[in-house]
Amino acid sequence: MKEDSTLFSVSPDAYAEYLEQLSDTEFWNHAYEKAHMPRSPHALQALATVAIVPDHMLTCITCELRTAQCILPLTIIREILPVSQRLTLLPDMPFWMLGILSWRGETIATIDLCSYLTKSCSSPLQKHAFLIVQHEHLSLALCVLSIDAIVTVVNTNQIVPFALAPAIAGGETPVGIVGVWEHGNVGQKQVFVLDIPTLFKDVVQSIERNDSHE
Amino acid sequence: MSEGLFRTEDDTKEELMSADDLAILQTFDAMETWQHTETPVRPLSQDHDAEFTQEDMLLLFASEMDEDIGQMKHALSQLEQGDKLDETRFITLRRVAHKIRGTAGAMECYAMASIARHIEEVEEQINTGILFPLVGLNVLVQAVLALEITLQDLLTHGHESDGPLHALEHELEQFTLALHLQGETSTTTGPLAATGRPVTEEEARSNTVHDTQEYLPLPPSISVEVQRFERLLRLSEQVTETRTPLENAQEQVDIALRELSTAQGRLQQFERALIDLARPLRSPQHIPHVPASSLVERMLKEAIPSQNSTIQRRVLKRHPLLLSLYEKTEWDELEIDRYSERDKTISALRDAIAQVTIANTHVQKAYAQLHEVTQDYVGRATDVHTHLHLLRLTPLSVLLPHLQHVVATYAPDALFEITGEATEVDQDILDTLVVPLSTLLRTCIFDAQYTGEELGHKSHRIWFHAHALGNEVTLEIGFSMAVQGGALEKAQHSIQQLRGTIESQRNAEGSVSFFLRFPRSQGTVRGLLVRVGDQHVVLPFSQVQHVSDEQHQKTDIVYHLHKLLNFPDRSDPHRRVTPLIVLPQGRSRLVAGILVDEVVSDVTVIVKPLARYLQRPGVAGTVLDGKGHVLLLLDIPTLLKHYTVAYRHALPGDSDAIKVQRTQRLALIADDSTLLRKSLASTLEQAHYAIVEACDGLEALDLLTQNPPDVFLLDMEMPNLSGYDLLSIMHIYPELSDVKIVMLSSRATEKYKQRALELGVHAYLTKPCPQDVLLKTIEGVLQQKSMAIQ
Repeated sequence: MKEDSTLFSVSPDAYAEYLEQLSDTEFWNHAYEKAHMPRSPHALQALATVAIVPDHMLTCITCELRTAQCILPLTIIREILPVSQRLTLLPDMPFWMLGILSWRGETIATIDLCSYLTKSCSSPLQKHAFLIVQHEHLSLALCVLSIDAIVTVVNTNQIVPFALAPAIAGGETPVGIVGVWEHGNVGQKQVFVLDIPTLFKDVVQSIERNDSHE
Repeated sequence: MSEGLFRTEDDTKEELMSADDLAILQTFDAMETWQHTETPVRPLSQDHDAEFTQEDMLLLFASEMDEDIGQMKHALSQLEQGDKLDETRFITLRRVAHKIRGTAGAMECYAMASIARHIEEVEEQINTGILFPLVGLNVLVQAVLALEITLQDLLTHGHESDGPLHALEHELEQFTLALHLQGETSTTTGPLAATGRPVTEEEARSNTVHDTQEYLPLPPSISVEVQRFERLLRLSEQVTETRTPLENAQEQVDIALRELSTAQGRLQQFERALIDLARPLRSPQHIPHVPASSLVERMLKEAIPSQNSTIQRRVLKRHPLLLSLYEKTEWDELEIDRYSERDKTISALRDAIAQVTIANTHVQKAYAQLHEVTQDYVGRATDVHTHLHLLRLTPLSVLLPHLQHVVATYAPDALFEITGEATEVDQDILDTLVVPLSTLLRTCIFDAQYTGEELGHKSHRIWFHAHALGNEVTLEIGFSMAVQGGALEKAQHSIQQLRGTIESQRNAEGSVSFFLRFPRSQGTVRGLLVRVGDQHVVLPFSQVQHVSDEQHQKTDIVYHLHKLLNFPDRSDPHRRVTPLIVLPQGRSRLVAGILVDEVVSDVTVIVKPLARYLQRPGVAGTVLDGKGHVLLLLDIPTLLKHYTVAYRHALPGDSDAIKVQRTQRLALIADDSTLLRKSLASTLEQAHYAIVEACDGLEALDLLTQNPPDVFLLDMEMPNLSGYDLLSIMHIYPELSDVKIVMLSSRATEKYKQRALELGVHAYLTKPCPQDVLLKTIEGVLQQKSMAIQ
């Protein structure tokens, strides 16, 4: 569909009507053009750090958070631990850090992924799972509500930059989310694509300086 | 001239003062009058004594300067005469330059203050390796000469000459340019020669010889006593000898298990037979339809032609014997076989059960034997492990050549007394101790020889006393003479890495002793496993005096462990007894303890360090419990220090539990410069503060603990204990947690200020500090709410 700029300049209603008629792909293309943004270069860069099979096929795991879902590349996941893990508290932890645990002889930090991404303190999860993820020789345990399925992202073009998606953290782009998976909406929940290098870097720095981003 | 030099009162104290003190006091009294002529706020004085006072003030300043310059020249001459250069001697120059910078700044002698600043900078460049000591020495000689000329100009003409300063700065600019150019164009990172040209290899070698000689690194291998090695060999042989009985016991268990398995198999064969036997036999009620026996049936058939049951019953009634047989007989003659089979089955079953029981007994016996042999094996293996650790132990005497070398170099006339050198310590710990102990000793004494010569003493004593109690080793390094400050802070980090502590005390000789406590072995730590809420942590035994409870132990300061760790409070409000961990009192006059929710047990644990990003003050590492759960191993002194410093700034509320109520606020001034001390005292006395003064860090510590002041003004560079030293150990004394600290230093660089803030100062002022700024700052910190200890 071709945009008629003269129409939109005189009639906001017509512009709204025009937007309503767009397909998802057309809408996001339009959004990119309006924002003068390339299609998710950050997403490409972030995902380039994980294994991308030919034709930009990326195998991911879908995790259930409280208010959303997120996908994580399967290649960074080392183990899924049972819920019975006892966590040890550390003094002056960020509010989104649940504690530390021993995994294969290594003491690692455990993060409540939803609290970290939304930057809001929420009640502890009654039912949860720990995903042990590893990036550049550093391991973290991510606490999620559940692990849903293994999915395949067709290509990175399906990842919409977070700036163009409805915000979940007071209008600010949360650290550690590279975008929203365009075709991944399940029910009312959006599927976020995690920016693993940024997430690891920010988590480590925040824990090191006892900074909770509050 | 400075507006900070003023004072005019306190005649009552004069009677107690010496002639010198009185002279100084009179100088300050006169100085105030002179100062009034300079400050428009105060009435101008027409008194002719003002001129005299100014001259006196100048003479006092010149006298101090002359003494300081003499000290620097002496240090330089020693450096020049030495076969090799030792950069630690440059520290003398830095310390004196620092003092001059503060004093000259206060006197508004900016040229001399600038020259002193340059000396400090050059020393720092030497210290950080940017300049070779030999190169730096040439610059420092020029700088001290410039300082001397400037002082002479001041005394001769009444004002400073900028010439020497400009000449020095010109020289330094060339240095800076050379260094800058080298950094941009050259790939070599070595220091430069005085002229800016790269230093030749020969020069570098001649200058850096001492670097390699100073700290002779211990070899990567470990030394093992032959006796210990042979004992370990015997033990390991005994472990090997245990193999045969262990294998025999295992074989016996295998045989018994096979026997049991066979018996169980035999037992299982009876399953079918038992099922058959379990079928119910025919009951008498069904007999009318089914004859009791074939014989009876035949008799009945012969007697009764029809199948009529009524007739049958009639026949039975007529023949009571037949009826009795009919009623009593539950089997027929054909079941005799069946009876026989059942009996045999039961008998065989009994045999099978007996065999299983016997086999089971054999298994138990074999297992008990195996258990016994295994226990023996484990015991011997533990012995091997223990002796393997003992193998790593080395007497402290290994360390002594390094320390003796330091003493022989820097205090050759001093007596070095050593006791407890046979105390054994893990070799890794010895490796870690070499540098901090040498640094501590050298930092303390490199200036002592000079002092000794000045005082005419040739027999200074330095002692090294060691003893061990359990897994804890205590070292005392003591001095009979005043020493250079800053040693404690330099050694502290290394000692803390060993999960040890370092503190200082005034010894019987009136000087300072440093006490270092650290574990004998790093591998394992014995401690108390305590519960706080739903968490368990380990407290090292070496940091615990004893365990008591809140009701029976009187304490002055009580900490809650969950507050120290910033954990949620999940203690049971209805509990009757709260365990209290009483902390070693040390020199503090107060007894401090930590409340926990439960003392679980004593444990011996293997400690693992935390990843850097997970490290926290007061957490020495982690240990794993038997279930693989992570436990925190706490470092209580560091935890308390962090808590105290954090709450000095967080200020949750008032605590007057240990605050002394005074009608007049007390200020303690610690500075090695008499001039600056008197100046500060004068300022504060005018603002109605009571004053106590300390001329060095050790005296300041004594005064702090005897009578904690409201505000503590301290200098950074002081003898015996530096300002940083004092800040590092103040947290040990709970009674000092409410003292407001203002550091006064001529160092304006952010890193010094940041370090001071990290160590808990409330305010940092740069000398020379205007009077109003000083008073405003002190008032500001005193108005802050003090921390709540409870």
